[in-house]
Formats: sequence, structure tokens, C-alpha cells
Amino acid sequence: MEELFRFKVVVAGPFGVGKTAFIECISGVPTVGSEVSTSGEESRSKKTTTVGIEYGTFTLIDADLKIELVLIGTPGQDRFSAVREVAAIGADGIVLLVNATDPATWPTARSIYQSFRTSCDLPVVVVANRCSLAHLEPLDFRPALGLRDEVVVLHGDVVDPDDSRRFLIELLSQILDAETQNVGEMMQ
Amino acid sequence: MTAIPSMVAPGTRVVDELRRLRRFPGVTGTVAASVDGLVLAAEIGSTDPGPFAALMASTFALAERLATLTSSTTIQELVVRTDGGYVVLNAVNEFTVMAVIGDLSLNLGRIKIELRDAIAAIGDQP
Repeated sequence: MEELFRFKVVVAGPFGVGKTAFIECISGVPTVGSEVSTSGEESRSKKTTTVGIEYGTFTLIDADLKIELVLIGTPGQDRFSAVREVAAIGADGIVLLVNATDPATWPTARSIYQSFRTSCDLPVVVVANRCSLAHLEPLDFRPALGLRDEVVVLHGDVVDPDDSRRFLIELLSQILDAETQNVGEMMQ
Repeated sequence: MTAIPSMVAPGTRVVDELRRLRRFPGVTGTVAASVDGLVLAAEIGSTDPGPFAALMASTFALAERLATLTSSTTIQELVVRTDGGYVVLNAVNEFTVMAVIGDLSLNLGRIKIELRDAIAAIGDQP
């Protein structure tokens, strides 16, 4: 029986950026969602939206070591900030998805990033999503979001399983670094 | 009287029913929200109905998924009981969730009957 390590990862980002698609693309188990029909203005951009949390997993097995990332998707609209706060309890890392081709969504991305940074300073991977849209050039949103210099921004598309895997492995390596550092500090 | 920050015009059925329910003993507020968490109408005093409507939708959707993990059902009602009172959430139709907020003097059985009538009166109106 291999040894199991489990980490909780919060998947965040503005409305319509691809959080549900990301979890559905990469999860090793059938996902549990909380999508409902959109209404009003938002129904023009898409038909359904996440209002609660989503659940999926991503598992890596290497010899006698098994690492499971529990992926918790969150809603993107400002009005659901309380759901994001609850989802972040006990989290080990954050994947923040940003639409690299749509600056109109960056203020929300900024407020999500800044609120996570204030409430729980965790390893974070920022994903510039929709980079495969050939006709649109990905833009640099780093200043608009106020990202710290050490924050890693990865480019790709969450509907590509290789990209999604790459994003999670980068986050996992940061989480493991942070854990190692914590253990180091405890030993001193 | 609280201003109704509504997407629903005063005089529509939802607003009428919220006002009617609001008058029952022990009821301290009523809110109708779209299933995606936007305020449709509210009689909730000085509390901001925006975050409340969002959490109504979140809580209701999560409770429904919780129930459907064990059986294929449609959620009808969710009662949150606290040390200070109640929040009673009901599905009105496929677009709308309604909340009745009450203190401990609320007669839960009575309000459930009233809610059933309110839901029937509103019907399928968005």
C-alpha cells in the first residue's frame, strides 16, 4: 500500500474564465458541480454558472508514493466572495485562472487574487487561459493584477489535459517547497 | 418600508407574496432570489440583500447536490435552524428561490403551509 499525501487546491478566477472546464478536464473522478442557469446580463455570455463549489481530484502515483490534489472550484462573480472564503479554509494552494485576452475581467481577477493573498498567503499559480485562441494575442495582466514578482504565470488552455496537468504539477512543486520550508523552520 | 432593489416590479406576484409572508408573527425578513444568486425582491430591513441572495443560491444548490448524491430527487425545502431563529429556503420554480427569515417565535409548521400557498400563487413566473 502506497503512502498517501493529500493537498487541497482552490480553483478561482472571474466569471466565465474556465474553472469548471479545468476541473472537468483534469479530474480523475467524476466531478460534483453546483451549476445553475444564469439570468439577466450574465445569461448573454453563458448558459450556466457555478454558484456553490465543485469537486474533483488529480492523482499522481510514483512507486510507493501517492499524491492526491483535491480540487475545489469556486464561483467567479463578486457576489460569491463568501463562498470563496469558505472554500479557502484549510487550502494548501490556489490556481487562479485569468482570461489573458479580456482585460475587462482583470479587475475581478485582481480582487480575487488580493483577497486570497490577504486572508491566506498560500502558494499560487496564475494561469493565463485561452492562449490557444490563435486570433487573439495574450496580454500581460501582471501589473493589472498587482502580482508579486515571485508569482509564476503559466500560459496555456485548460481544455488541453497536458496544459492542465502542467499547471497542477507547478503548483504541487510550490506546495511541497512550502511544506519543506515549514518543516525546516520547525526543526530549528 | 425598505426599498426593493428589484429586477421584479412592485405589484408582481413574487413581491405580493413576500409582503404577505413578512407580516406573519416571528418573520423578520423575506427574500426572493434567482437560482444564480441575484436579488429579485427583498423585505429584509437594513440588511444588504445582495450577499444574502448570493448565499441563498449557493446554499440551496449545494444542498441539492448533497441530496442527489444518494438519490435522484429535486430539492424543495431547506431549513437552517440557529440559536437565534430560522432561515427557511424554498424552491419556488426553476428560476426562483425564496427565503423566510424568522426568530425563535416563528411557528415553523404554519409558515411552511403559508409558503406552500405562496409558491402555488407565484407558479412558473420568473
